[in-house]
Amino acid sequence: MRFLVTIKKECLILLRDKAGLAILFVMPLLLITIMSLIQDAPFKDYKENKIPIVYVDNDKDSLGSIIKKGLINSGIFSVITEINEETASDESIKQAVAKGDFRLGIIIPEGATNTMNKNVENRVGKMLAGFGMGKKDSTVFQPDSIQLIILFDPAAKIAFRSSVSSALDKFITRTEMETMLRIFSQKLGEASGIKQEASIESRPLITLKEIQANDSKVAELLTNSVQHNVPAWAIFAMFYIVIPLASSMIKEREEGSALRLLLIPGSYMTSLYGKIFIYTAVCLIQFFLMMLVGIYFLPLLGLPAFEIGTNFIALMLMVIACALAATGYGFMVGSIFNSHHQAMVFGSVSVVILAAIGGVLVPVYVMPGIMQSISIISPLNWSLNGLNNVFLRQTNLSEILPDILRLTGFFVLMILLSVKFNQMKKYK
Amino acid sequence: MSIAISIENLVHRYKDAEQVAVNDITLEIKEGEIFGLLGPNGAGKTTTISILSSLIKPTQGKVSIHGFDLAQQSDESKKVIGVVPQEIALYPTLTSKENLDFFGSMYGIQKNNLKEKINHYLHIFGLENTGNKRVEQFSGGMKRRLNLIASLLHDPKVLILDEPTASVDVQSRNMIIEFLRELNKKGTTILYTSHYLEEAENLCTKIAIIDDGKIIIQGSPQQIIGSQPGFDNLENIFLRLTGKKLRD
Repeated sequence: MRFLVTIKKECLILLRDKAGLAILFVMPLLLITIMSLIQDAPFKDYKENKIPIVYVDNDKDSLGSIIKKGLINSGIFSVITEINEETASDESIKQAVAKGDFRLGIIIPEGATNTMNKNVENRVGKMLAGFGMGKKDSTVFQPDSIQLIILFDPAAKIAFRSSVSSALDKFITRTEMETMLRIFSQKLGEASGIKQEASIESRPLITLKEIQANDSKVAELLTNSVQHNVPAWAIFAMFYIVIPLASSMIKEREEGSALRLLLIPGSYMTSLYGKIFIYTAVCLIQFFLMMLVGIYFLPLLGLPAFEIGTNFIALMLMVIACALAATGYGFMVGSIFNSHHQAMVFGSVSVVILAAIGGVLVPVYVMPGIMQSISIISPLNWSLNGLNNVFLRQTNLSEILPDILRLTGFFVLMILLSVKFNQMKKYK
Repeated sequence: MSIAISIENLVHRYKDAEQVAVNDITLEIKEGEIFGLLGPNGAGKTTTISILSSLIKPTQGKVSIHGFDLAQQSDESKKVIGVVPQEIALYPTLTSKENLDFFGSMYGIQKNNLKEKINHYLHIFGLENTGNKRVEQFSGGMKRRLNLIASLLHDPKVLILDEPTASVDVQSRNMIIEFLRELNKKGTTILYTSHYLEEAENLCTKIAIIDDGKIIIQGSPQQIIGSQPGFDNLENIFLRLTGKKLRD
């Protein structure tokens, strides 16, 4: 009965704290909406979000047009040939990229096609001569180098530079190969006396096909900003319960109501357990509200709908474990600290650190090796890992059980530490 | 009369403190007495009350309330005492009825009985029309009265009050004092601390003056006044015994 009375009291206090309710429910919803919108572009496929590239073709021959065509057909880039309604030149492209108007520019040098053809012809001629075909040329041929100039915005990240360079390298290699095959075919025809040029098929013989390692319906989902942000920030918001929970505990001590509970036999801990129950329930409500926002509201803003998966039992157990861990952490912070200021600063900073370590801000797999090793200590990492297993990998209960046990163990440890701290405070 | 509160050689030193807060106090409070524990700031009154309330464990000494040894039976002793703390120990965002309902239920009082008691006390203390008003909207005097009611709901045999009339208007103070007299007539033992010496002189059947953690005098107000020739009131005796030096 005392437990139920405590729950009723906590509900009344929570419902009357309008600012607290806003922090608990409105702020997390705003957070996931804003984060999903902000991170939507980086998560989107390049096909949906093309990189503008300024292109100066001084070659005005086949190599220049093949590279241009290749860039357009790649779907990664949109090729721009004019700056301020004037045909881009070597100077204007340099200025535009340096100013940051464009992140990328390419200059194809004059006579590039001719030089390439000469180089390839010489190489093919030598090769055929080796087989006793064609004329043997004893002169030493010094190939001219062709330098395609790629201009990068100084602020462009290394990862962006290397991905662009690698894409361009692919087109150049392909063009070189095609030219070589064409000239080889011509020379071979001349040597064998066949005038007709052989047709060359340039379609790649080996292609890549990306498929998910798991063949379930949910696993075919491509990870997008909503699929990453909704669970990640939902977990972050759940752990942010440390602020209202610790604040409520410190307020009770400051207002004196905790003192009265200490005067009533056995009621102090019952009251604290009631608090744990209510705040765990708040975490669960927060989580499912955020899921609903992901499923129904974010699509209205042009974002993909959140896919919740189909294993609801595993999801429920996982969310309860996360909520318990978050509440336990808040309970411990509220027990250790004596002032609101201390609890607020420690609570918020520690949750941000645990979130960063745990992969909420940046996925764990892109972290340096040492941080990946450290990430396993964060309860937010266990939470995110377990929930992603449920949402994306459609795993069964036994596979998320280690995460559930870790989170529950963390909750028990936090409560035991809190009880110890409360006893130390009582009998000073 | 049997003993309500027995304190033997009580000593308490706070962690890292240079001086002891309570220094070898021994006293007995009989059932039905109104006992005034008086002393300047920092004399050891609140520490003694905190020990009697089982909020802190004494460094040394033995305390029992109605035969319950606090070292072994603190929960049993908590059931027979009601403590009115110096600060307002209520939830400000709850109404007076919600506060009383919560604390009464925590004492395990049955719902119907509790409802009757709440209405009864709210009426006695002139708060019957404030049942649905939040405590944060109350005046200081109203909060003090409600603070007292919250300690009475479980019908304690011993009521311990730490400066119950501090910062209240004359009307509220008079009401509280009258109520304590009536309660005592019905058999409740009262241990009370105050800085209002005239109030203590009129209310208490027995008084102890405490300073630097030690009891320096105890007896009925008349005995204490009679024992100090040339003094005709408690306040002058108090100043003579504790000195005029300002305390922190």
